[in-house]
Amino acid sequence: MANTEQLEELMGLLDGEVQLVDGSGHTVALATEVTEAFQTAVAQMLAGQTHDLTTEEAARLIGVSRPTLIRLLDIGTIPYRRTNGERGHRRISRRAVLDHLRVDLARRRHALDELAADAEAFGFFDE
Amino acid sequence: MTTSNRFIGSLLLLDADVLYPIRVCDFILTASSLRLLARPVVSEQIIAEAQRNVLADRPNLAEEQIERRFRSVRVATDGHDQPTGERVDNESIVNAKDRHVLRSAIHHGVDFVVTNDARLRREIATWIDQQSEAGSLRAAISADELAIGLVNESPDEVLAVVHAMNDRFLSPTHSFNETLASLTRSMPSLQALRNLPH
Repeated sequence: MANTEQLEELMGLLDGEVQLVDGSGHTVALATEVTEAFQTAVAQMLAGQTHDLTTEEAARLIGVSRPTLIRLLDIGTIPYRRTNGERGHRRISRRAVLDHLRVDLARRRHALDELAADAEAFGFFDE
Repeated sequence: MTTSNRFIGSLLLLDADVLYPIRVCDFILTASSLRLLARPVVSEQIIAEAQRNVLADRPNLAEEQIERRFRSVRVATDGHDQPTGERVDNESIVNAKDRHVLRSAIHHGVDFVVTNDARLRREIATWIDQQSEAGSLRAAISADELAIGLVNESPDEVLAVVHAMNDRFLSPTHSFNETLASLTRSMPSLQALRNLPH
């Protein structure tokens, strides 16, 4: 069975344009719908992994600094629970982290589309 | 991504001279959107400095156009909506006007500060040497040193970044080679990608 690290790596790979390569080197580009089906399957497998994440693990999985992750928790962008005890630690479900990651990547890619359009219009790459 | 790689997956703080020129900034932001790097950190002070640099360098652009660009930069980065970190030990090693860079780097626990300012890189190196515990901060590096590191670790993924950048251009006159040529003006080490099949 795939471990968490393998699944997370696979999730990262599925974020880009995906191609399948057979033993003879023949490549087939995957349609967006097929890639999304793979993403859903991997996300479900990751969600099935039992333990919730520490803030350190969640920050690493999303790819942000820990202060940024804490801020996302504090303002309610990502739900979390606290462990038992007077000063319980924060724990975040893998599903919540992956849901946030998907939305965040879409926003960032839209921003990059706008940056590229402006860079092109202003001739930033021709200078 | 594997944790053994030195640059891939790392958390960077970008200095103002990396947010402009635009090509360097867009390369790093695209690499981050493809999860080759973590979402880079900047501060509002760094963004303001970069914005001033663009205004001074491109007087033909309207302020609103430049503001729009940096609104998008904020979406693709982190840290600008948070207070700059507090004073750090021995920060006087770093020139007073650049201490905010070191403070932000320590506050966010970044792996690298990316700056094209050679003096600041030397000062941060001295600061790291003098710390018994410098936290996660490993070095201050130039944009080209970042490019060297990424290309050495995973040339195919870096190639995919350039393709992703090129695919975003609407004009068919922008070829892959032109985009790469533009990038190599600021990050000469990306020349190595020319030898890869693409």
